[in-house]
Amino acid sequence: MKDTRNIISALLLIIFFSSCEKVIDVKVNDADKKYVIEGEITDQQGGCQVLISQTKSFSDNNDFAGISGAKVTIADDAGVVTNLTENSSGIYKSNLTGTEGRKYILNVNINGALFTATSKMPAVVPLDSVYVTDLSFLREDSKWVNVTYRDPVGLGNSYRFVEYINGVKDKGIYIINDDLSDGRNTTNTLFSRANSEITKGDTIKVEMHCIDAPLYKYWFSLSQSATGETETAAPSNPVTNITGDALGYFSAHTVRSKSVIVK
Amino acid sequence: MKEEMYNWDGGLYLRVLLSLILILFLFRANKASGQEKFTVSGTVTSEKTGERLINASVKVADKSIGTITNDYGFFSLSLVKGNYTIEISSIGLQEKTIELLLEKNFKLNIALDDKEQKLQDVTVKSSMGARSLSSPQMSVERLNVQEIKNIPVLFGERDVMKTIQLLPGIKAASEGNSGFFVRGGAADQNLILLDEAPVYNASHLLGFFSTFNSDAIKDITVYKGGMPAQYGGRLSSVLDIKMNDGNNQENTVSGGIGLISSKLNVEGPIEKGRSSFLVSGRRTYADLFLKLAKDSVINKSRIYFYDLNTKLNYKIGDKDHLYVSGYFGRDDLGLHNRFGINWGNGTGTLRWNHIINSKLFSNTSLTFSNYNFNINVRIEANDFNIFSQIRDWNIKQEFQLYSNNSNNIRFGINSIYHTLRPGEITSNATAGISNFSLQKRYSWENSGYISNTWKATDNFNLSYGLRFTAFSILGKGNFYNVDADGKVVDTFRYDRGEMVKTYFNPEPRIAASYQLNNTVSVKASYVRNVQNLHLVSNSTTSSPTDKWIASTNIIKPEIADQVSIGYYKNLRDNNYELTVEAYYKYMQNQIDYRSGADVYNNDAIETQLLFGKGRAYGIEWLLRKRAGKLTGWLSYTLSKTERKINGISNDKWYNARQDRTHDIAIVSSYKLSKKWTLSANWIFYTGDAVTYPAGKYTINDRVVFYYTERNAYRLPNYHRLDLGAAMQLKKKKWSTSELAFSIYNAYGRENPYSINFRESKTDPGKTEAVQIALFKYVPSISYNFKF
Repeated sequence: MKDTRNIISALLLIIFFSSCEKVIDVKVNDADKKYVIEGEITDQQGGCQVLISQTKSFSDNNDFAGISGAKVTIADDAGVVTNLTENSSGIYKSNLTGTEGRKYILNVNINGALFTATSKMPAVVPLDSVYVTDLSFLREDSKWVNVTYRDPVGLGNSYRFVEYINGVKDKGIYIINDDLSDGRNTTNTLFSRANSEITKGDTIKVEMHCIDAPLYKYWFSLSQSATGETETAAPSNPVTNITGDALGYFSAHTVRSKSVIVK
Repeated sequence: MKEEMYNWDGGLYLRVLLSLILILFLFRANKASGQEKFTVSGTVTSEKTGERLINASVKVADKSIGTITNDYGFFSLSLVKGNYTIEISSIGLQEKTIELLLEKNFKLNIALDDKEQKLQDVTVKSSMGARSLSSPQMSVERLNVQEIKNIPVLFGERDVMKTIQLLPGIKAASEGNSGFFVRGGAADQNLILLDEAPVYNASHLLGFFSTFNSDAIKDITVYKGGMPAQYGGRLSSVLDIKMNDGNNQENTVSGGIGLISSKLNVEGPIEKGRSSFLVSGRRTYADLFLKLAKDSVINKSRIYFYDLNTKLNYKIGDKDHLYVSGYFGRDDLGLHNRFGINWGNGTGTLRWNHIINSKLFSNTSLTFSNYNFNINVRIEANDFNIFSQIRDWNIKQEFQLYSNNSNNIRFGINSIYHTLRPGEITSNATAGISNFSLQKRYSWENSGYISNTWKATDNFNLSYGLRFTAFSILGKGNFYNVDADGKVVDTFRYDRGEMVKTYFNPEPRIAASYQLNNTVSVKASYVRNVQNLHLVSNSTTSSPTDKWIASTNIIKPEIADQVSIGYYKNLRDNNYELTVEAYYKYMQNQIDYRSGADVYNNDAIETQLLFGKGRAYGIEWLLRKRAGKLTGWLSYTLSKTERKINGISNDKWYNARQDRTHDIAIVSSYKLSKKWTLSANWIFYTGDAVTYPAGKYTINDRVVFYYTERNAYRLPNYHRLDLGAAMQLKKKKWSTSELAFSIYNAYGRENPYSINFRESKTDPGKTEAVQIALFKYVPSISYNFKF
């Protein structure tokens, strides 16, 4: 339902009115820099990593240098603490593999500034199928990727889908929870795709992440109000699960994926 | 203004106020004695159409005794026994003079002739409300549909809502939008009434058109402040729109053919002089052109709206008059058969005027108002429908007592039953979405009011009154207690019809005017307004899915206190009017979203909201030229609008989105010859207050933005010029017709509709700001006829 306004606006703009788009100069005042922490632990080998960087000024380029020298640990609710080591600048890794149902606590110390976050890895929900259909209603001959899964009975399941087109991660954010689909066989069309077209012969991989409720809130608020696109809400920072005044998130999630070749 | 002011002891405040009002009324009653008096009363109508005239002046020649007709054309004057010359006049019509020997109560029903037919010159007398210098009512603008005829508009579609945006203190919500902000209020803080029935979503196609078909409309009055006590329920303004009654003298057909839509209006007598009907319809047909498009996305889409206004009125004898009016409008948008949305309003009003005696007028209204939307989705296995509705039943009884010439007392009661259905999903068995219903919400709003307009001396007029509202929230349903973080800590269950809570609110209304001389007066007013239905939307464009919610135990009634002062001067033989008004408004219990709020799937909507306050102040100038070949006005508003919401911008005051420092409109119309009328508008305003990023970072390899202060930046200034020309085609004995041309945004200014931030498409290593502008040089042509 949140997409209704977008769909209507798009329709009106495309069909009815001639709109024109141009790049303009805007002067913005830069705020003090803030740390950005992106932490993940998954139930897959090699899925544990924490990226630490900083905000940049709007007019700077998009190379975001990592922050080195931080002390990063992930503890689980059984009391096992794992140290993450810095692989390259600002990228901290461990070969730790998460377990569903377990709670993880991230601790980051950047030169004495402390940040902490907790995330619980939900039970895995299998990704049943991934397929591509022609749905020429937003654009002519446009193809969209669909995913199906069976939501387990009981409210509180949240999912995030990540699309890879020929190995390149798409930047669209697609999240859904089971508020309206509890216990049902569910089909979702990933209309969030940022890349314009997929064509015959493309390999599409979809990753399904089972995420916890605070992460759903994080991705939802990020996509609603921090992407810089036509506002569906007043611009604001997403609701993070990290305490200590940093941007970003810490997510413990399961990952299942399937691939398909576009026919 | 200090905030402590608002922490008065409510009980004391109320008691003082009530005593004051009581004293004033008693004082008036005692004074009314002396010589034997008789009453002359009746109605004033138009000779040509039989329409009842609102605000027509009825006065005694050479004396400062007089009155104006009410909303149903009724007036009453009490005079000492004797000979009188009564002058009856109404704007745009010929004045009539009646000689009268008054020795008993006298009934006077007057029909005024059309002026145009008699005068052959090309002098144009503007029909825009001749402002009353003596009336304490301030901050009000009246528009006559004739007046807006020549104002050039987008797509040539005349629109009362867009015309009022050219007046000081009233601002367009966004480019080409019929939504508006009054004196710093939000778009949902305007009470929009069509024949007394509230219209909950007064826009078509995301606001590019309003729901009011100007062909069916008689009179538009907008109150920006100093609202009379009979109005209540919204904080910022009242837009009172009255439909034509229908010509009870002869059948007329009029209509227009435009680029976007066509309309047809049929009216006439059922029984000549006693009863009449009116049917007025409009439909857009842009969608028919879509079918011609090559692109299958476009040619299989649908996009249209239609409106239907109807009215019947019947005069039963001399003392009673019945009116039935209805409005129905709908928008329909669709993409193939996969996605569809339709929405619309329906309203109905049944009114009974009864003249109890020559001094007491009664009106009883029963109104119904409904707004709903339907969304249909059929994508892959998903096949479902979303429905939402807001519905009101409303009964109102009002009396107007013309106790003597110095006092006009108005009192009444009003009871509204609201039903809100925030969202219901129905789906097929295979859909990934289950059947789902948000809780229905029920409330009962009762109010009573009394006011008196007192002519204290020849120069001094005072209007004072009180409105009292009791808003009762009713079960069945769950209500919640929410902590500071927006988490539900308690749930209370209520049964059907059980009272959850009642909010009592007194709303005092005071206004005074002092006339310094024949051409100058000053006025002041204080008004409190209370609002119990709130629209949750934090976007500036109106969407059909914007959601109305009622006050709950957590969502408190919004309250606004406004003081205004004004200076009024008529210049050059009343050819020019100058108005200067200043206002200060303080608003409590204002609502905003929490960050990341999801207002659609949530029963406990309180968990998604933040509350705070607002303040707005400004000065408005209006210079209007009312007569001559050149007519029009120049308006300028200097203002500030701020909000302070706990949880936004570090709990500090910040600019509201609608804060525009300068706002200028020049509206002009020039009667070149009998055949041609030219017109031009120029609009300028400070860009909206918007939030720009204070930095950027990456999340999952995507650049996203970091924000600090809300609305700390400005869009570029907005300005545009619109031109119009109307050509009167040859007048035939039985018909008139005209061709109207216009061009919107004539110098092609690219005014930003929105500014987006993104990774550059040409240089992905950079970030850029992209401005989207709508509407450059939009020409239109339309053909209007009447026979």
